[in-house]
Amino acid sequence: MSTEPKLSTYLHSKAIKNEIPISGTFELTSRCNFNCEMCYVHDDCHKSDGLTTEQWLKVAEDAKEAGTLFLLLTGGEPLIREDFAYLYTELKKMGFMISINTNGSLLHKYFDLFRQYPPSRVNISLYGSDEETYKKLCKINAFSKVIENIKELVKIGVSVKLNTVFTDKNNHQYKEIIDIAEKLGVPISTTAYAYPQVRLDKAFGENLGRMTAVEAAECTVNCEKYRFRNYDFSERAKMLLNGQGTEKCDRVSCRAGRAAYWITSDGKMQACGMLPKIKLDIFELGFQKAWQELVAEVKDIRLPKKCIECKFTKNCNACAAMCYAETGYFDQVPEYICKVSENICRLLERELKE
Amino acid sequence: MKIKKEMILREIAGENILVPGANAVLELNGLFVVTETGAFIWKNLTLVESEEELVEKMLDEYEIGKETAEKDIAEFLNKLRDFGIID
Repeated sequence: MSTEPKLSTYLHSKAIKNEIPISGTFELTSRCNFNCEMCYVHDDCHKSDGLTTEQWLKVAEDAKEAGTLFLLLTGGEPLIREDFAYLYTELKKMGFMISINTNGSLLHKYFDLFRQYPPSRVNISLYGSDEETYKKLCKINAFSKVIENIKELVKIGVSVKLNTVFTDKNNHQYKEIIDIAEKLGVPISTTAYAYPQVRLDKAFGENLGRMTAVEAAECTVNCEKYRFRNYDFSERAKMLLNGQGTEKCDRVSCRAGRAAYWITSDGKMQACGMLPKIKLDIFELGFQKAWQELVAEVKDIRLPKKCIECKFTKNCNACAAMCYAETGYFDQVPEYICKVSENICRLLERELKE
Repeated sequence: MKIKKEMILREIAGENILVPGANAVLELNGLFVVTETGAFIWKNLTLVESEEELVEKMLDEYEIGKETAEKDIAEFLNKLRDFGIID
């Protein structure tokens, strides 16, 4: 279910119609104090943040000029940048609606800043429900600090959302993780899908940390069952079987490259962070030209025809980025996703029978 | 007129939008769509001493009656006051 305010939905639909880059993501750095094995962007060889403070401010001015209103600051870990407070303040003064993606471990450094200039939302990745899992998955004992920081941020009144990616290292804690969100009174999104790490030059279709398709399906259904434990799950199961997936057509139908873009830490414009196939240099081309080329290239993307005919199409969220990351092509069927969708349906049908 | 909470007027996808800037209290951390007249009033808020002066500016810009201008301005300013954006 979408929690997006109606005004934002309306503005995005208008932006798509008029090809306005209303929504941007600035990947401020690929550095991170965590070292999660399933991460699609961070690896040890990245030693510098990439773009300088001045370069990011220039990008922001151009983005503002082009019509960007919503800005997501992400990484790596964006709060690790030494100039984060300065950058954030300047961006806020320019009139962006700013959200932040963070692992939550460094938030305490910015409580005063967020009191003065509250972000629209802070999305915090929650990787486990104890130190042991954090150590195993993220290679750092940061669980207590993250929880402490989330509590304080909620107390300040900042809108917080939790995100959890399940892998074979943390899927056993799905109940505890959902419990944490419920106790804190904050929304949580969970996914059992980890994108293949193609940005790190790993093979298409591979993510060393992720579960098998069958395990991912089980994890997805387990989370659903647990979240709806106080309700009649058959109703939820029916709803899920009736289709949550996006209406399939062979073109890109999300906002990426139509009203949204992503700037990587080295200054390349992509349609989304998971889609490195189309990369445009904003300093060489200029922001506006890069955006126009991106829009044109995204229009040319064709997705697998087979997916439109597929009987699981209603239950599948496969997109251009997934097709590319799984197969190396936009028009090839992402088998891993097919298996996940098929198994989710099988499990939901079994739930209904029981 | 004094603006208590900084809001930034931006034109996005053909809409006039007030975006919270510095000192935007958390309750006010959302977007406001304003009409063209609203945007005109906002742009002139800090340039005038009184509501009367705003009315005059509006009559210079728009082909409307004084009563309509007064009503539009009062309505808009009251909304801003309700949200604590101006004194």
